[in-house]
Amino acid sequence: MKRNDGDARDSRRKLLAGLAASAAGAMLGCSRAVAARRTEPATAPIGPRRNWGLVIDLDRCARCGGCVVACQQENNVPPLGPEAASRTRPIHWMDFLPPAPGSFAVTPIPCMHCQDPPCVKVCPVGATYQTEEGITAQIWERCIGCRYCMVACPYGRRYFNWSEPRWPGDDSSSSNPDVAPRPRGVVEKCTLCHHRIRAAVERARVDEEPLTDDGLRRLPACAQSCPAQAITFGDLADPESEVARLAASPRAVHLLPEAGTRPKVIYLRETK
Amino acid sequence: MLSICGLCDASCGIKVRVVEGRAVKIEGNPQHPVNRGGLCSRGQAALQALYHPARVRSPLRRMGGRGDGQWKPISWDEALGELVAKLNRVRAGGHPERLVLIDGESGGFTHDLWARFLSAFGSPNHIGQESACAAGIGLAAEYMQGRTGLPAYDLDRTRFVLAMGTDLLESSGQAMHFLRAASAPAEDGRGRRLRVVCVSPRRPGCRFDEWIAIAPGGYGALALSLCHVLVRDGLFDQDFVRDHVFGFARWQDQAGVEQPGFEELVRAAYAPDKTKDATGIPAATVERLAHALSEQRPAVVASDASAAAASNGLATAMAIAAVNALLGNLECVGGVRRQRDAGLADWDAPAADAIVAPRIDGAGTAACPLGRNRVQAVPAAITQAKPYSAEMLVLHRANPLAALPGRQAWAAALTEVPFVASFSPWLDETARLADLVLPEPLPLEAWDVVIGAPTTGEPVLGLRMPVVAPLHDTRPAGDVIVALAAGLGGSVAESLPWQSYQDAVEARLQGLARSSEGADGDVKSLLADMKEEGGWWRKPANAEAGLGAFPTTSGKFEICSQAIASRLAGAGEAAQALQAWPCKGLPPCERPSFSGAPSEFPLLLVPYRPIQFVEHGVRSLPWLSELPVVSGDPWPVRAEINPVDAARSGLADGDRMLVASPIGSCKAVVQVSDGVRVGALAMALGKGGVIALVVPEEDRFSGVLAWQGTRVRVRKVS
Repeated sequence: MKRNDGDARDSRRKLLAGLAASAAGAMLGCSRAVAARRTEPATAPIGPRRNWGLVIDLDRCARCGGCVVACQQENNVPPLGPEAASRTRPIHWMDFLPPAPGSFAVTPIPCMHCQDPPCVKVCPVGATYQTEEGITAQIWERCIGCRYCMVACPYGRRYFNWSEPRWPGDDSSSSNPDVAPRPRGVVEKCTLCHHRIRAAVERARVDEEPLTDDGLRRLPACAQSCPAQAITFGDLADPESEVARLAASPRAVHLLPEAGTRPKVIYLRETK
Repeated sequence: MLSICGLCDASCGIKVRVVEGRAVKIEGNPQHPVNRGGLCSRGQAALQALYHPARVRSPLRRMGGRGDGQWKPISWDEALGELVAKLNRVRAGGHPERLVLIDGESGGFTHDLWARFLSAFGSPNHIGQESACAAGIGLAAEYMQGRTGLPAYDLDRTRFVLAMGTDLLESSGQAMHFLRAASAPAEDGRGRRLRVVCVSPRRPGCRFDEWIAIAPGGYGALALSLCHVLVRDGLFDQDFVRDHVFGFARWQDQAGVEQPGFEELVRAAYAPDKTKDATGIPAATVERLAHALSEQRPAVVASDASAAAASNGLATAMAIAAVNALLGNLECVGGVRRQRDAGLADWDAPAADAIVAPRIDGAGTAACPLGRNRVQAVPAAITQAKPYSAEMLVLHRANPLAALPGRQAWAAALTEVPFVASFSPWLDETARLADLVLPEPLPLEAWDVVIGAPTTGEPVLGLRMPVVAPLHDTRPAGDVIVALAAGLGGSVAESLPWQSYQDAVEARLQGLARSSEGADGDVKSLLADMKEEGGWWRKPANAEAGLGAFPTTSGKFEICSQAIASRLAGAGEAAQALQAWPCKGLPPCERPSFSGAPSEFPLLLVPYRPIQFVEHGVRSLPWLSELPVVSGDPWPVRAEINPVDAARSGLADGDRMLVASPIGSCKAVVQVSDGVRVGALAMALGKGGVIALVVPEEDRFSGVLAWQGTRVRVRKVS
C-alpha cells in the first residue's frame, strides 16, 4: 500500500511538472479567454443564468499563501500532520503549482471549474456535477471513492480523503459551522465557496437589494484574503463584470488549453 | 470583530468571525492602512495557535529537577506572591542588577513598562533581542541621522526598489507593505509597476522582477560600490549632499584634525571590479544597478535585518543608508522616510534609584562600544559571573534556546541562575527549564494598543480587542508587571502607579487624545473611535512633509558619524581600532568573517526566515507547515543547495543529508535548487535543529549577531 502511495506521488509530481511546462507554453501563446468567446446574449447586470468564474492576476500575486490558508480555514480542510503527510499529499483546494523548468514562480491553482469538466463525465454515481451557475460541484455523501475523477482531471485538483478529518489535538473549535467536513474515503475539491455565494444571494433577496458585481468581487475566501487583490470573482456571463473585463485582457490565458476543458479560472500572465 | 494580528511586527488589522464564542475565521480589516483587507497565510494561522493543544493553561510551578517536565498548576495569587518574594530577596541583597530580563519585544507598551519596572528596581539589564534582529539598521539610523527605529518607505510612489536581504519581501514585519506596493498595477499613477530587484544569496519565494545572487555578507561592499559608481559618474544628488550630508568631503574632527571623507574612501577602494570577490556580483551588474537607481527615480535601497547581520553588520547598514543619502531620496516623494510618532505622552519620570552597575551583556562598554543590546553575550556572562552573576532571570516572550544560536551555552547559563521565570503561552524549550511559567493570553484574547512596524512613515496605532474570552487562566504581562510593582511597594510602586496595563496605556494615549488629531482630550472617546475603525492612523492630509534638521552633531545626515568617532575615542582598545579606520566615523566594511575552516567546511550557511516563520516559539502551526511551497512531504527540515554543489557532494534532490557546522549538526532533506548561490546552503529558521548550526559570532563594535557567519559541510546519510 505504502509503495503505491509513493508511486502516486511521483506520478503526480511528473504530471505537475508537465502541467507547469505547458502552462508556461500557454502563457507565451496567449490564448483569448473563455468569456470573450461566449455566445450567450448579455442579460441584465446579474442575469438569471450566471456563470461564475475567477481571474488570477499573476502580475499582482506575491505568492504569500494567504489564499491557501484562507481556503483551508473557510472550508474546514484539515491539515494532515507530519506522519500522514509523509505518505500522501496534503489537501489543498487552493494549491500552488510548482515552478516550471526555467521558471521560478509558483502559480496558485484552485479547481478550474471547467466549462466542459472531464471529471463530471467519468463519475459512475453522479456525485460530481456541474451546477446551473457553472460550478463543478460534488456531493460528498454520494461519492464512493473510486477516484475516476482524480484520473480524469488534467489539473490534479481533486483530493482523496485518506483519513478522518482531524484537527491538531482533536480540537475542531475553530471549524466553520457553515461547511461540513468530508468523511474519510471520499474525493473532495474546491466549491468556489458555494456556501458564500448562496449566502450572498439570500442576503440580497432578503434585503431586496440587487447583487452587485462590486459586492461579489472578493466573495470566495481566497479572493477575500488576497493582500495583493490578485484574485477576482464574478459572473463571466455579465459583460459588465470585472471578471469578464479582465478575462478579455490580452494577458488572459488558460492552463492546458489543449485539454479542451475551457476552464473558468483565467490567469493574467506576468508583464516584464 | 476588529482586532490586530499578532503574528509579526506588521500588526495588520484583522476582522474575526466569532460563532458561539469561538473564533472561526480571520480576515483582513478593509479599513486598515497596512493590509487593506488582505491577510497573509501567517496571520490567518493565528487560529491554530489560539486553539493549540500545547498551550499552558495556568501558571505552573516546577516540581522535581529542572527540565524533568513535572509541573504543578498554581493560582495567579501564588505565582505573583512567589515572584514578589524572589524580587524582594534580590533587592534586599543590595544587587538589584542581578535581576536580568530577556525581552522578546523590541517596542510597544509592555516593553516600555518592563523598561520602567527595571529602572525603578535598579537593574540595567533590560536585554532585548535586537542584536539578533534589526539592530544594525537601527544603529545606523541612530549614528547617521540621530534617530532610532527602522526606516520607512514611501513605496506607493517609488518606481524602483533594490531590496537587500533574505527576508524583506517574504517574511519581515515590512513584507506586507512591500507586497502591496509591488502588486499595485501600472495604472496607479506612477506610470508603471514598482520594479523590485532582490539582492540575496537565496531567491525569495515571492514575486520580484530580478534576483541578484549576492555572496553572503557582501551587501556592504555592494552598497559602497554603488556609491562609487554614483560618485565617479556624477550621478548622485549634488545639491542634497552639499546641503544635508556631513562627511562626504574632508571634515575636521573634534580635535581639529582634518579627516578624509566618504568620497575619497569610495573612490579609492570600492570600484565594482575591486569588490567583485566580496559581493560575488560582476562589475557590469553593479554599474547597471547604480545607473538604474539614478535614472529610475524615485528609487530606494531597502534592507531587512538579515542583510546587516554579519561581522561587518554596522558598516553594512551604514553603507546601505549612505546610498540613499547620495541619491538624495530622504523624505522626498517615493523615498526613504523616518517613522513619525503618534504624539503619545510620556509617563511621568520614574522614581528610580541611580543605576550604578554596568549591563551584564557588556553593551556600551569596551567589549561592545557601539551597541545597545547584546543578548548573545548573556549566557557567557552568567556562566562566568563576569561582570557579576545573575540571581533571577525573567524571560518575556523570549525563547533563546530555540530562537538564538548557542543553545548549549544558554542551557548551561540557565542552570547557574537560582530562579528563572518565563512569560510564555507555551512550554517552549526555554520555559521547560524555568522554575515558574506565567502564561500570557494570545493576541486574539487580549486588549492592547499596538504600534505597527514602519510602512510609509505615518503612525499607525492598532487597537487589539479580545475577540474571544481567554480560553485558559492567563494574564497579560502588562497587568502582571503593574501587580508586581504594587507588591514590591516603595519607589517601584510609585513609578508604576496604575491599576492595570490598560490604565498605563491610557496615560500614554492622553498625548494623542489632546492633540488636534485626537478626540478632544478624552481618551475614552479616542478608544471608542479606535474600536470603530480598528485603530488610529494619521489621515493623509495631516502627513508631515519636509526634511527638517537631523538631530546629529552637525545637524546633517552624517555619512561619517561624529557620534561614533566620539564614542569610540573613549573606549579603550576600540579607540586603537579607530586609528586604523580609513574613514573615521564609518566602520570599515571588511570582508565578513565565517566560523570554520573553508577546507573543512566548504559551504556558507544562509539561514533565512520563510513566510511560515513565526516568532515566540510557535513553530508547528499545521496550516503553515503544510503550505505548498515545496513539492513532496512538507514537514522535514530542508536545505537548498545549488546543483553545482550538490553534484560535488554527490547529493540528489530528496536525499537525506547531515549538515555540520563547527558547533552543531542537523539532518535535512536535500532540495537541489538553482535558487541558491553556488557555495551557499540555505536553510529556513524556525524548524528543527537549524539554529544549532549557527555560531554566535558578532560584529565586535556594535554587537550585531552574525547570522551570516557560519560555514558548514554536508554528507549524505541514509
